Amino acid sequence: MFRPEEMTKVSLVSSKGMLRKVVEQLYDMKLLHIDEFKKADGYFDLGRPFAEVAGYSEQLIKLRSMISYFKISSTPKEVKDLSDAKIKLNYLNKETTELIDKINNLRSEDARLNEVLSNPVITLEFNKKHLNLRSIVPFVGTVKKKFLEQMEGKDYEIVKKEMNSTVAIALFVPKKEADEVRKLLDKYGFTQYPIPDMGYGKASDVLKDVQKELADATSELEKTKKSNRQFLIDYEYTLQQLVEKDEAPLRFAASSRAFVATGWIPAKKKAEFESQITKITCNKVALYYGEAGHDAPIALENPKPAKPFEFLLDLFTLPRYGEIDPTFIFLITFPLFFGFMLGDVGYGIAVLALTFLVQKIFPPGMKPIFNIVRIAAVATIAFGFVFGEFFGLEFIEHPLLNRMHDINTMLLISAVMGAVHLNLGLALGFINEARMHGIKKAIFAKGSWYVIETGIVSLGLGAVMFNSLVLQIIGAAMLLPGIIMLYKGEGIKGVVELPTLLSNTLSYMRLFAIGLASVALAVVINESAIGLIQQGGMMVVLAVLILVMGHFINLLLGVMGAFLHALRLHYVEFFTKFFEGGGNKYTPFGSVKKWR
Amino acid sequence: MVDLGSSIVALSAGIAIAGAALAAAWAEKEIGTAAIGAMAEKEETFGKGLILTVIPETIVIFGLIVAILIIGKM
Repeated sequence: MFRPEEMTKVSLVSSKGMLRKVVEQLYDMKLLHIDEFKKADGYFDLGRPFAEVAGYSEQLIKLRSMISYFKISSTPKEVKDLSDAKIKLNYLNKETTELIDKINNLRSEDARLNEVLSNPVITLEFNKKHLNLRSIVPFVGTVKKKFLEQMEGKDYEIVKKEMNSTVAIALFVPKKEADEVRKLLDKYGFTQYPIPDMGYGKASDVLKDVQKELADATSELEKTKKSNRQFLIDYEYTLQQLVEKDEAPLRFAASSRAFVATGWIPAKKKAEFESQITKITCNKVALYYGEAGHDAPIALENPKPAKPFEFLLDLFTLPRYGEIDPTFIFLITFPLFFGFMLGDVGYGIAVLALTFLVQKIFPPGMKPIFNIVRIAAVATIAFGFVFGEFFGLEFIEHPLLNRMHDINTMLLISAVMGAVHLNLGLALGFINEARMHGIKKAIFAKGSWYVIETGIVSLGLGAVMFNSLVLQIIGAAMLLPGIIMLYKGEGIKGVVELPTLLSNTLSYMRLFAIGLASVALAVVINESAIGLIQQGGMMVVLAVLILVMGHFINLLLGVMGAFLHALRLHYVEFFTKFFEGGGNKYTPFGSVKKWR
Repeated sequence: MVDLGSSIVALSAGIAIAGAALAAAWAEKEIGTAAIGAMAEKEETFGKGLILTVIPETIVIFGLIVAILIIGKM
């Protein structure tokens, strides 16, 4: 429970003839977490992948590009007939590539035609031959309407079509007067347009054809996607497994005749592992076992209620092998902190109901979070009774604790909870150190904190409560050896950390502060609504609106705040006392990972 | 009407929190941007990034405690 699952290191040696059988068996057993062989100058070399792998990889690339183009997903099944699937894939790939090319061409043609149609000079009708005359300069484009007034009385050939604020013109000017006209045109905002290669009627006809073809091609592609969705997903899944198997020898050490596969298996599965491997190889295998070191993979092992909290550890970092797994402590302290912060019967029930309502919208990977929030919501309801609050209303006249008024008591409780939590962390740190580096190091590195704490408490009690000089002297006398021990245990780094005793404890005051903010907001919402209800009439509707919206927003803020701050107290204040982390997750060979 | 003394006490409590909150916000902004940057490179840094980002939050709690102590003098 407080340790990751025990692992055994295993080396499997056999002749290369057995390689295929062993790989298949290992894949099906899903037990061995392979320790990848790294080539060094020595007798062994990397193993060679099986020959099929190149073909598979090529097909995987095709498959994955299609899957990501189609943006499809589904639950995969194994494909049985591989040669059939290969032919089907090649055909499909060719067909869709052609279709996609066609669609892309049609799209650019569509864009080009739209541009042609929006060209303002397309409707002007003039003799195209005039464009190529040497003695005449053509101006084709748009210009402000005022320009036409300038043209009155002049003898140029002009074709025009009025538009909203401008006019489209085709103006033909004798060469020697061209410069003059150009200046005039510039003055009236002339924009030149290219002369389209087809008329308006023809262009719109072509566009219609293109659009129809585009629609056909798109629907054909959609049909291909729909009818082959499951096939693509299944085949990708199957090939991925095959590739993983085929590439497995790359992770083993190999000599010319034999291979060595090294890795870890859960200690309790040792007998099962051994019997199956020897059976499949007809006893032509040598197995060597060893102690798992600090680099062993981590499989967390916790009772069912604590399972969801493994997610929070995974989010941060997994413990190293041999280190304490704090998941179970999360199960107790996380809901405690969360409940203490949110602490409202109404909010607790609402959160509980909301988790059941909205869970379906979220991906299944979020499930642990919902379970955590549910446990925390129950704690919220419990603390709601302690504080006597229901949506900010005091439904118990004299609750055990009143968060709005018993400020000093609440601060004290927060600090005490913090002190207990921190000392629990130090105690876990002591156990960790003792296991990893021996009892002496543990006493110096973690025990010293207890000495210093006792010193401070004794000093404080002597000065403030009992007014006893003896207590003060004892306290002060304990501080010095405590600090020296700490210096021996953790070096100057430990001594620098000393002020964190104060700052960490104060940090737990947030347990109270966040709660206070949430209650204060709830009370404000309630009071403004009550004020409106007393006015009566339409104001009652507004009041209900304020109540619903206000409490909903406050609830969201409260849940998010309480969750993150409870998490932070664990990650920052608690974990720094004992947790190192950095372990690798136990992912046995054969457990399929998703590439997306 | 509140007398001048209490209003100054209330104002000081407000300033204590506001100052601390601004300081925390500033610090978190700097750390948060860097953390997001790190996460874009390497997604596994989320846990570490979150922790580093929330460390300055404690400053606000200090501000709150100071404010409560000031109010207590009223």
